[in-house]
Amino acid sequence: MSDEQAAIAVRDLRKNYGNKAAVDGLTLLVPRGTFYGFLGPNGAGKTTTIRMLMGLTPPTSGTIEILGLLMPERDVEIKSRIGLVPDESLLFDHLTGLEFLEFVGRMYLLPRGTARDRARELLSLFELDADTRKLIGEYSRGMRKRVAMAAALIHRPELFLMDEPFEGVDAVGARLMKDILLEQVRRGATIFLTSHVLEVVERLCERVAIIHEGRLVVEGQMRELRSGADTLEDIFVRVVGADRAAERLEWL
Amino acid sequence: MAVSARQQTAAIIWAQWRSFINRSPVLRRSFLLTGLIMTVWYGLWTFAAVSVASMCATEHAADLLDRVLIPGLLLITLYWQLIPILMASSGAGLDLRRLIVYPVPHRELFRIEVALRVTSAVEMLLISMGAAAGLLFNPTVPAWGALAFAPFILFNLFLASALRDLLQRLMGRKHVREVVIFGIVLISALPQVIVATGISPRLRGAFHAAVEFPWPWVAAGRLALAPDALAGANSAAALLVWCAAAWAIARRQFERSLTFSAGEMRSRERAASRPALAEGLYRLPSLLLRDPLAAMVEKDLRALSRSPRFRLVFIMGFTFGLVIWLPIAFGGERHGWMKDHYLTVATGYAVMLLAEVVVWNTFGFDRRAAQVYFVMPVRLTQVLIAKNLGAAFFIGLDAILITAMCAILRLPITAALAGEAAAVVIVLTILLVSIGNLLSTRNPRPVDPDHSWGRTSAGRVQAALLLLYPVLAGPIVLAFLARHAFETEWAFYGVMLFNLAVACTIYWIALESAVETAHENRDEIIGALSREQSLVAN
Repeated sequence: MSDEQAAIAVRDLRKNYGNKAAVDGLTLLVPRGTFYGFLGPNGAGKTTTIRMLMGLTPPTSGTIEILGLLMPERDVEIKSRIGLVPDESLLFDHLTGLEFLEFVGRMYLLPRGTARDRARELLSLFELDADTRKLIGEYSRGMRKRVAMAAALIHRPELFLMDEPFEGVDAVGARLMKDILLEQVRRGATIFLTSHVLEVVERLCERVAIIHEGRLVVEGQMRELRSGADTLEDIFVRVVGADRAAERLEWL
Repeated sequence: MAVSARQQTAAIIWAQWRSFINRSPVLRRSFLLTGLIMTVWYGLWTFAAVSVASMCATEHAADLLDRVLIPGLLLITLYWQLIPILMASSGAGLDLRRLIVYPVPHRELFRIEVALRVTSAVEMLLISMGAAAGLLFNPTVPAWGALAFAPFILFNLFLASALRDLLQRLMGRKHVREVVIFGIVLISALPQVIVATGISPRLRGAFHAAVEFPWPWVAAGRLALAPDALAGANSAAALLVWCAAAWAIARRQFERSLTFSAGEMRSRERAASRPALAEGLYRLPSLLLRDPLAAMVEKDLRALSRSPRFRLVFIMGFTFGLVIWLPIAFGGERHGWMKDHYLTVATGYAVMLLAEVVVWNTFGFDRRAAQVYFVMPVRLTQVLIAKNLGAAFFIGLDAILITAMCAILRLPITAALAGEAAAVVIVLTILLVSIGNLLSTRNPRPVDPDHSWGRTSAGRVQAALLLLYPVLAGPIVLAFLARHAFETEWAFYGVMLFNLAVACTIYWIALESAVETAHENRDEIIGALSREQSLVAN
């Protein structure tokens, strides 16, 4: 697969904080039109990677190409074609859900009327229209994820970058979000998501990558990885070296 | 500016406006009221701008303009700079870093930032434009008079942007946030200090010299009223230099703020910090008490000392508390009650300050974690005693620091004065925690330990305190009256000993009542503490 065919092409990506490498020479190709899972234990460098892909954090070294365009050289064009479900810090707490969605639509240069109409429809789709006066700061964690997801959809992006999109979302909300995401993949969009819920990743993703201590340890097709009776959890535990039988506490 | 950039700028300004309005629950719910308040507010400022324009346009107002223009421009600058600082320190206003993810060209972001500074001080823009329009129609003022306002406005916009970005970044760093807020608090105490102590001739001389310096408002004022081109050239040059400097600083601060991540900074600071010297202090309760009481006190000592809100109040106790009473005690007459009992007054004031964060809403910082006290095998009596011991520890530490500060400042400190202050602090603390336990179980509310501003206890508690403080001060006043009447220290300590016995009795009765309330209202307490802290309340 060439870099042009890839939705995301990352080469030798590095991010250092002082002497510590949060991401350490990551190389990754995400094919277009795939549901891609990006996994790793806590502190593995997933969020740092996704923040670099979003253009929030500049990499220390390495190249990022998104939808065939170089980041940060073509960042405006890239940003207009991606949808983000970031961590909660990028939501505006003092706006209502409707105001926030309309604001996001306008930032993606949708006509004001269209932005407002889509905002209403998305709010209704994600069942956030019960109290339209409620501020995002007053939302529960699941509601915040849902409004972030709605914001990611408002401009029909080609690529979704999602950091733990199902965290704190109830079963009904998670099902709704999964259905919407699968529909997006069917229409040709690419989804790149991080999640700790391995069952969800196993069910949704065609390809997965696992990073550990900033380095890529496994990458491939889900069905190839799951050869035999191995579940994704088995593979994950094995590759990140979490088999700690010898370290178990005696008194336990 | 391209159409896309204009549309995005409009969206951002709209979002900033909505965020501002949404901070008030009343305004958020009433479009009519919002419209009315805005009409009245900006109507008044428009009226003021028209009045300024009319004054500046008057042909015979040369003397008046000479006297008021430069001070007026200074006031405009102060207002323009203060509002963004207040907005940044209170968390109001949009954080431009959150806009990086949207398809906004990088160069446009700075323009948007500057445009937002217009919206945060529209009032001053109105007044400036009023003054410029007035000068334009004044036949005695040369044509460039009005033009002086253009660079002056730009200077203010750039400076406001720079200050806001700088402050926002500083606020994200460990300890700096407290220092900034502490600085603001100290500045607010400055007028009182000046009124009480007066201004020294040296300071007065320095002030007069500073007035002559071509500050931006001075340069703009002189340029506006310059009688000829030559006289105006110097001021114009000074103003342009100020403008360029403000632009350069604003640009640099903006770029640094865009890539600044408070989370990253904190993790670097944590990684760089050595094991705390305070560790020994935290372990102290374990030497004196048994678990689980010791564990709970230790937990509170650690948690409180890591809370920026607590740290600010604690530091204020032995600094601001001293500064605020110093001019009152030592500014006027040579001998007075305040001067003779300065240490007692300062420590008493510190106790009241600290009570706000450790007494009146004792579960506040625990927030939803407070429910562990109901599920762990500990008695609520122990929990409240642990909280009270933690509070007493910090109150005692603050009192020691105040005494040390007084010694360093060579203020009168004797063993008798220290004993008097200690007696007052002990009795006052016991009385305060008694009432605090009752209020904490009846009016709990969650408090964000990272927010340096804001009230910690509920509004009704604050109202109750207005009545409570005079009542609580009663027994202590009685001890001082006894000393005065009998002219002996024994009378003072005798009454204070009696007060101590009464305070301890009150403490045990209040503790029992508070525990009973906590058991009865368990659901309400957990529910109240589990709610997110109201955005608007902050």
